[in-house]
Amino acid sequence: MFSNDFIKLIFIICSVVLHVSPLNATQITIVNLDGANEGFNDNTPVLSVGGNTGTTIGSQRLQVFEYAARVWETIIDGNVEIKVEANFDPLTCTSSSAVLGAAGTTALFRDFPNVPLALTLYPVALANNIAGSDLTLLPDIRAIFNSDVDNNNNCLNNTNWYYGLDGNKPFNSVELLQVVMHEIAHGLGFQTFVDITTGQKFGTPGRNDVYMLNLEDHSLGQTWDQLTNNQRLASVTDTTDLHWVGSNVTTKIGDYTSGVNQGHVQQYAPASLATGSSVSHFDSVLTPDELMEPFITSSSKGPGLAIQLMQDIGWQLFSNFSPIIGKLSDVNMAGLNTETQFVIGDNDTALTSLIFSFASSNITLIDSPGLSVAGEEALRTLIITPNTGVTGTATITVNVSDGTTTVSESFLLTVTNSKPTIVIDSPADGTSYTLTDQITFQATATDAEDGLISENTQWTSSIDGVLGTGSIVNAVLSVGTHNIVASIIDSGGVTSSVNITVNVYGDLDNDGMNDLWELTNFGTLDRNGSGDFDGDGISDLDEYLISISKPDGDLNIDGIVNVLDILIAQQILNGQLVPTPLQLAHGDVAPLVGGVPAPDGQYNIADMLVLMRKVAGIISY
Amino acid sequence: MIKKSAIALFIIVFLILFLFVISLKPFAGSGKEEAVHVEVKDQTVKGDGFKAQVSSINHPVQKVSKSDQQKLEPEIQNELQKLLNTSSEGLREVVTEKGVMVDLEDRFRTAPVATINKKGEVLIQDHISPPKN
Repeated sequence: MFSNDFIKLIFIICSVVLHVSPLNATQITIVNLDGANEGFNDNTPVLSVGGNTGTTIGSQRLQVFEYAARVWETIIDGNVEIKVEANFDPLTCTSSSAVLGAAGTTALFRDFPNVPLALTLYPVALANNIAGSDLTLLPDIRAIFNSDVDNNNNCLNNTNWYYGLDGNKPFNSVELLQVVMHEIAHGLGFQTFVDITTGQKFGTPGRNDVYMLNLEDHSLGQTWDQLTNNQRLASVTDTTDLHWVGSNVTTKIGDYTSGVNQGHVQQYAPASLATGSSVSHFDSVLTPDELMEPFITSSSKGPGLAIQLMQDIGWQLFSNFSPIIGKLSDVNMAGLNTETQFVIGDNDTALTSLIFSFASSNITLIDSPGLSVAGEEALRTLIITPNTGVTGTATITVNVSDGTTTVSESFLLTVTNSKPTIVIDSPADGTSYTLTDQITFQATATDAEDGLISENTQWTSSIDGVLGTGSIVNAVLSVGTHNIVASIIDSGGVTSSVNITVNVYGDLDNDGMNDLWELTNFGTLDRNGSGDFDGDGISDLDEYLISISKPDGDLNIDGIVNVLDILIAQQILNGQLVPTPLQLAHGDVAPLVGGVPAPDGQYNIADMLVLMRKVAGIISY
Repeated sequence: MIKKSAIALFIIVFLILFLFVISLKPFAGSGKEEAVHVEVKDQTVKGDGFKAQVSSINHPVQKVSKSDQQKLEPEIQNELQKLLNTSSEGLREVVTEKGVMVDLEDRFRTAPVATINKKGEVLIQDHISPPKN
């Protein structure tokens, strides 16, 4: 009916679709058994940590469980949901030790559809996977964890759970992710159901379990299903002689520098059973360290060799383990850029080899070039740089690919335009000036999106109107009380302004003295200048004129320095004229220091010589 | 001339062999801790709860950490006694249309226990079976 070419085309299209949009059929569901305000529902607010974006203790706990589930979901290939019932409750804890939790499979199955071995017990999750259907309404794994570990000085000396997903726990903390991944592995079947305190197989009559079929007492050359109870009991403590003989684990022995023996990986079988961890763990001497050793000695690095062990006991695994990406929290931002953190993982590809790509639902707001990822370890930083001057929302999708499969995580980005800030640096509010003073106005304006924008500051006076634009503006103001406003507008059109009051004084009573000087010296404007307020023989007006005078040689106070001033100087030196204090203030121009008059309080020939040179145009000051 | 060359070659070969033998010895004090009271049994060296492994002639001796030897406090032991049970006694097989099932009734669980050592480090050991008193 169809040509070969058409069928090939359909196949290629299907292949491409599957390649671009991989679908992990496996679903591991965390069933939250906690009540309100406890465990996973504990609403105590916390800050994001190590890529865990939860905002409460409860949500961070749940995110750890869900991330551990995702790790296993990328490994196990199956179409039957794996349900993990979990809760947090107080368990025994002292200042130096604590039971962190307890977990395990809920049931065992034998002789179910598709079972490879009759009369052999399988943990329910594995039995479901092999059967291809859910064999029971029971959950697959049940777990309880100790809620008393958090924020409790009496528990482990205030050691807390670490809820980060980045494998970077602080010194005095317990990494929950590592423990949860370990316990889920047990629940998936990394465990024998032999009573290791007696050597007896499970049940009556004793049944083999699928795990024990790969346990070998190497010196006897027999697997555990072939041994007597006493032989198994001896094997439990037969250090270095208890081996895992599954072919998938065995092919990996070259990766280990210790903990392998006679071509096999050793299982934990310390001489003393009192330690309570025997048989259902890899040997503690396995190097490099493994997740499924009895002692959790290092941070999360994935299931490792447990993956091959799962395959040995019958789990179907994906041929390629897809990358893992942690949740990304929604981002609200104002400014040029911002950052948010997230975690990635991959069980068969180096993290440095993973490839990132991005998509935006609103490319006017932000497009792929505005998104980049920094970092090389599990914890990555997403740098977000929206287009300048644009506000709005966009759904951002971060894709992570190992070259074969791509996984994605999305979050909502909201960009707002923040209000600029402006501060008047000078003058201070309420400063007073005289009419002729040049006033320097200075402001600093910043904006989250635009940066430093002081140069755009606009200055206005309530009396004189627009004074100018710039971070610094000089102005001579009219008499009166000015409301000075400095305003700024950012690239998004948002305005901010700030104001101060400046007082400028003139001579309202028309007595020749500036009102500010009068108020400063007399406390009133009632004096007319003819009196002598301080009784020093100098009139109030002259006092004022002296205060504003400069040593310029203008002895006749006509505003010009010329030969007439020289004549007066000569009269003074000849004793024909006694100079007034105001004349002295103007005429005392010697000596010159750096070319500028430096009055010495005397009027003598040196002052006249300087004056003559000034009039002759030899010097200027 | 030939005699001198032969002597030099002999010395070089001797030195190489000497260095090779030295390199096979365990590096005392490195990594994992020293075992005590060992007695030899076949290729496995064991002590009071410690062990050393002689996995083959090409493998160095390895020792497990003393963390193996955590002494659990009575409260913790009591909790583990309640949480852990590796006996199948009393559990019943139920025949269903999809196979034969045994509800484990919370037996055969595993329990991680955290302990703070003298250095202030948190050690975690996963327990399978209840501790022996």
